[in-house]
Amino acid sequence: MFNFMIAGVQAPIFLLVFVGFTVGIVGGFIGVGGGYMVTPALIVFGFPGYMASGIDMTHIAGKGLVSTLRHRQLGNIDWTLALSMVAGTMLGVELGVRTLVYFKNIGVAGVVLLVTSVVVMFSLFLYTQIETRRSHRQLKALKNEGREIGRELHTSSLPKFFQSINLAPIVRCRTARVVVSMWVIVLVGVVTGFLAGFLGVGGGFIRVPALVYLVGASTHIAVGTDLVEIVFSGGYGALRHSIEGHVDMMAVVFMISGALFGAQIGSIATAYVRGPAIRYVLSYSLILATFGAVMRLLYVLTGQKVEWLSLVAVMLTLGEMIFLCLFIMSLLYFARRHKRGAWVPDWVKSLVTT
Amino acid sequence: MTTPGADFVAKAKGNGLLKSLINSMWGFWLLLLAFSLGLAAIVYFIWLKGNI
Repeated sequence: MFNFMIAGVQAPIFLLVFVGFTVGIVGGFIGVGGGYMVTPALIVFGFPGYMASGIDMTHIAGKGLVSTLRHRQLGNIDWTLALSMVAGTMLGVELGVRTLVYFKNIGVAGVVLLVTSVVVMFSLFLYTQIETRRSHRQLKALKNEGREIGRELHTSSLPKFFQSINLAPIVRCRTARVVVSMWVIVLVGVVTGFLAGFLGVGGGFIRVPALVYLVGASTHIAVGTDLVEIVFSGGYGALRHSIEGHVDMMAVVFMISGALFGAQIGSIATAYVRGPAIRYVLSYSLILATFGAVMRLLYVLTGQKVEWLSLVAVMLTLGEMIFLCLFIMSLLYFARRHKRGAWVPDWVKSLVTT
Repeated sequence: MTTPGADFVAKAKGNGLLKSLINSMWGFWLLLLAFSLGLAAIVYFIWLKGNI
């Protein structure tokens, strides 16, 4: 147990390093900050809510930078797309925060927040899961026919619609190989920023599917590009929380020491898998987070009297981090075995690169 | 670096049920989820029970 003097909490160091490590792997792999996992985990460890948000944001800024640098080396960042989206994201976050303040003033912020998170996360899970299974089936069929398959395959028809909007200025995103109206990118930034600001999260789990399914970027590019946004938003959030005194730097140091390794492993792992594998992990992350939010919602609606609901929410929070981390490590392990020609399960063959 | 996948694959050679679980994506998903929730429960009961 370590005594965190600023937060006034005693918590085991290894748990903070472990959380940093696991969320680092997940964040580097699916391009999210992981605030929706870290903040509840820190609250479970005994940190007050405001302190948990501050520590989370500061660690996300550091981890996001490491993942971004690694994804830059892997050629997964489209700077035109990232920088075009920043302005829209900032505007959206501001609108989201103002909407949240409105609901807070009329006294229904807690329930509205939880219901919105559940609806948004479950809808994203459903679409991502259905589309990814379709893509996976196509990949398997191509593989069985012995045809050459690339790193990406997605079957959504939405990008064609958004790319056909002919509203000047038209932007050519060279790395993402997308030609699209600037207004579409700004709109995606505003909408995802609004949801992020309203739900009080970084918004990576909304932006990555939006970049894939609306703009038409490949999953790898969406992950790398989203991490650039996370560095901006996390850096700003870290600064604001530090000024307010919401950050215990010792907790941040322990978490970042784990995240530095995790973020590198997660980022490098993307080079071993095809796009649908990343989208599968993203959808699993969404459904587990949805279950956690449903449990917290039920706990609030039952007047915080049914203790086991809170316990299940805690288990899901910790279990989700462990599960996602193990799933990614397993994919990496299977990918290396597949490269050597060793036995791997059938479903893995079309998800990993050869 | 060892992963649970390594253990499962090694054991699967002599265990039909485990191999069929690993061979199906949902089976592997459930296996990992059960293991993760179990580990989360251990962490909770050993280190966190009094904190919440």
